[in-house]
Amino acid sequence: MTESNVRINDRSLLIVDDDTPLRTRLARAMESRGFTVAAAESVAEGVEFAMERPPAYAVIDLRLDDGNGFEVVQAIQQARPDCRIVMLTGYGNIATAVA
Amino acid sequence: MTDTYSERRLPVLPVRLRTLLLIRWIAAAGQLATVLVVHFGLNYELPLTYCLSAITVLVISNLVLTAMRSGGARLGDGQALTLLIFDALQLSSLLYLTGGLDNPFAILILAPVLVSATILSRRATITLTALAVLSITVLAYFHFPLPWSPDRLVLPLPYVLGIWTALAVATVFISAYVWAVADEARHMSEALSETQAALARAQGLAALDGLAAAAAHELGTPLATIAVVSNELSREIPADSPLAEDVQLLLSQSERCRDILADIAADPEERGGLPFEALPLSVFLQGVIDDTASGVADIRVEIDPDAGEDEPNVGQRPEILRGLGNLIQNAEQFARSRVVVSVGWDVQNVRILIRDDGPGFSAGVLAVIGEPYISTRAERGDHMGLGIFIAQSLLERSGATLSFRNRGGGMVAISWPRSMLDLTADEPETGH
Repeated sequence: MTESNVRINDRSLLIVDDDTPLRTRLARAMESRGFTVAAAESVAEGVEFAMERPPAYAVIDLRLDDGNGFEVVQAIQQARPDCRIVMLTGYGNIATAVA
Repeated sequence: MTDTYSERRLPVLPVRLRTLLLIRWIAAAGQLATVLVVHFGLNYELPLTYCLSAITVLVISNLVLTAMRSGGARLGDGQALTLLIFDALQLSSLLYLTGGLDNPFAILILAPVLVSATILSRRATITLTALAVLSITVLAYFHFPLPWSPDRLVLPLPYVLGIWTALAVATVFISAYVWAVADEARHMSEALSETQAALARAQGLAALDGLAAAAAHELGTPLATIAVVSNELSREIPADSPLAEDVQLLLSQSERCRDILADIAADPEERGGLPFEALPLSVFLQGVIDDTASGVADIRVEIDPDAGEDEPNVGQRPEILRGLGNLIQNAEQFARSRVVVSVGWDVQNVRILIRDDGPGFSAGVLAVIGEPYISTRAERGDHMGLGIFIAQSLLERSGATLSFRNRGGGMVAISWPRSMLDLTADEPETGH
């Protein structure tokens, strides 16, 4: 698939987390590893990013101020199904998190 | 969670001294008024000095008690009994002086007996009843003549015997009945207090655990930031720099924090969990069993084969945790070797069946189950009665219906309307 060819060179990363210190420090850390990082701090912002410029990678906090980060996950998956997403969750119970 | 259940026969609430003193003041006033009215008002001559002496004895004892103890003091069963025996004897002596059973006021012998029936133990009430019957027996034969003029009024013996019979029957019957009613009310109120205390303890525990879990939850984010920074530092700082060791320490300790948090988060059943944290029902049940079982019997969870695919998710509500825990413990105690907990659900209902292979509930117990103090294992020193009462009250509070039957052993069936239990919904459920 042509998309995977594109992806090999695409290091675009979207970080969605409402905690500012974590978000900014993580963004800087990922930039130093060669990613092109965009950061969002709410579901609304995240979804907007996802629709305008769907990233190749994403790190999304599930618990955001204005809602559930899962909405952003779904928006990205719609816009770019091959995006690799890492979800951050505070729920120790995996059943709850995955469900 | 260890609990101390109340003893089968609860210690009776001690009596407030002030109450008893007031009753005796009223009695003394009444006796005085009657004596004065009869002697001076109605002109029926009675042995005034002796009567006044008897009343004075009562008054003096009241004054002494008032001086000796503060009004808020409470008397034990024995002390109150002594006082009431004194009162019964004082009244008897007054009756002796004024016609014995011929005197219509003989009925007042019921007064100390009824006071005992409402607030004292069965032993005390029986003692006072016996004393009262003995008194009226003596008073049937031995007494000063009834104050009367112009001639002496002598009631025929059969009539006096009639009075005796009536008084004796009244005393015994009324005191027995009043005692039984008061005892019942006392037990109900004690059981309710116990249940409330049990629930408060469980809620306290859950709140504490909820607080701990919430704190752990919040800590995750700042610790993640620390972990990121430590990682970056360890990459930037050359291995031979004097700071390298410190950076390694930062890194290792932040990883240790992560492990601790993972530990806390990993066992929601152990921790009590957040009240709205939901687990699949069978997992939840297994958690309750692991927490409460003492290992004397083998306990298994079975899922009903014709239950649907969509297993309900249950929140960690203290009422349910504790109610089920009590019932499972009870089943375990009575089982010969096995307890089976079966779980079933459909669109409308969720059902849990707890079955043991023991002797089952006896017929007498089935009739009163859910009452606070039945117990058939007094020998073992622990009590099924209050445990089942608490379990039933708590589970019913969560919306469940319970039934108790024998099916090859004891069986408890608990069922909820699914909407009251299941937390799998699109919108997050607000806690109860």
